[in-house]
Amino acid sequence: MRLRPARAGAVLLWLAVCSWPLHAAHPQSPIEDRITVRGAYFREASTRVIQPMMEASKTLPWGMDAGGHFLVDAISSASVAQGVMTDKVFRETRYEGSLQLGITLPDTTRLGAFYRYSTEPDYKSHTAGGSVTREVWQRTGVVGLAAAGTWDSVRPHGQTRKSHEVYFVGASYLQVLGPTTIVQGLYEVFNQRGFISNPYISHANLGRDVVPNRRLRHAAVVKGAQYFPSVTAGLQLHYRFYFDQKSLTNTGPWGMTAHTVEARVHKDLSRDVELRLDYRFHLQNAARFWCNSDPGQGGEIGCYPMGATYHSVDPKFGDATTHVAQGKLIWDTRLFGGLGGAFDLLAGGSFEVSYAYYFENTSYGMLFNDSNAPPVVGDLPWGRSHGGAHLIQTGYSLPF
Amino acid sequence: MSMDASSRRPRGLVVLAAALMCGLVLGGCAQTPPPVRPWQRGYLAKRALQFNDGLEARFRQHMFASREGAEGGYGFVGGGCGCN
Repeated sequence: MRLRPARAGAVLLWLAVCSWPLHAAHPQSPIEDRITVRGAYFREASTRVIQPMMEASKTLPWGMDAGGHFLVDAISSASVAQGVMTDKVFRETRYEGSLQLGITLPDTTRLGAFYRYSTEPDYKSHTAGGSVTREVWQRTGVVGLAAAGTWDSVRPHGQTRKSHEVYFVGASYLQVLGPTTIVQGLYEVFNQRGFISNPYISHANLGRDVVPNRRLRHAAVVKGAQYFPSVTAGLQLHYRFYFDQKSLTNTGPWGMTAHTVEARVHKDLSRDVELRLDYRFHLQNAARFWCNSDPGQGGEIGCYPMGATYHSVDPKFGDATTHVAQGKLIWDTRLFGGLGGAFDLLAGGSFEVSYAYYFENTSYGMLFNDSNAPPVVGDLPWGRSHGGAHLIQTGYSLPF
Repeated sequence: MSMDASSRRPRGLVVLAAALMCGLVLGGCAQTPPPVRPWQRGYLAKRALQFNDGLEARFRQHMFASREGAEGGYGFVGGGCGCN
């Protein structure tokens, strides 16, 4: 049998993975017994999301572990994304839960599997997947492979049921370069099929959006982190490159590319309090089939010809530049230690609160005004002068 | 599928080259001392050296996926917030 280069490469890669020397004497599961409760509040001029959520993980005998999460999304919206007029508020509640199981083998290989379900009145989603990770080079590196599938059923109000599927594969490698330096690289591929359009928006002349029903998406990510002990501060830099196509050999009507850069500064303010400042910049170009048909954003309503095969007024498929600036405080509640009773239990936990502003240059980023600005944060100057959204998150995480 | 053999070969060679490089690099790791000894790992527990943001990242990715067509694809659900 003639061995094709691709197959030979795969065999060699597999042999390389299997032959990595492992010197870890006491491999440990990375999962710990922990419960986390969080809340998120997202507010655009036309959309509000309140999301309470809870997550728990537990180690089990024989190197096994289990975990899961549950959340509720309470969404109120009158945005362009829903295709409704601003005087008709759209309300919806979404419930999401997941379960995950893992096992860590004596050779530090960890196998994991998860299932996630989400339901809301017009959208049901099932996702299942698995992963394998392995520590290498005396536990200074971690190689990982993951795969997952998502099967969605979409039933927009007054429309027929539609299906949507996503198949994902990803590979990652993390390496400790020194006592204060780590790097990571990831490559992810998503094969998306079915109903990709937004069901709630329409073109004035052409009707409901029609978007290609096949999409192959690629993302490559590199991350680096450095801690500086002398100033008790750390820096992280992330870069993501994205492109999509109709299939491996054909860009087709897609052809979106994007660059995303994120920088984070961590600073220990005291033994128990840490400040984190983030900045994220995202730049994307439009899909080939997309044109700007929104006169309010400098477009022309007639830019799509009558009978166009594909058309969309969804600005997320267009040119876009976004910025996110975030500040976050984390408080390790150690001071409760030694007080006795329940306080000792709380001493191992940490509390966090963050505020972010999401600057958007598309029609999603409507300016706040007196009638739609949220209390307190709505009076912050950038909310009235730039389109975007406020995001507040808080949470408490407790080992048990 | 109309892909012919000539269009397959370069990709196969790339995979083969990548695998060989991987093998060489990882083979080299077998003989090279690791960059960090167990007693030097204290700082690695710092949040500044963690890449996993857990549920915080999940909400942010959901927000980005509904507003940026080049973000997402992680199987996020849509509907009300136009996230698909």
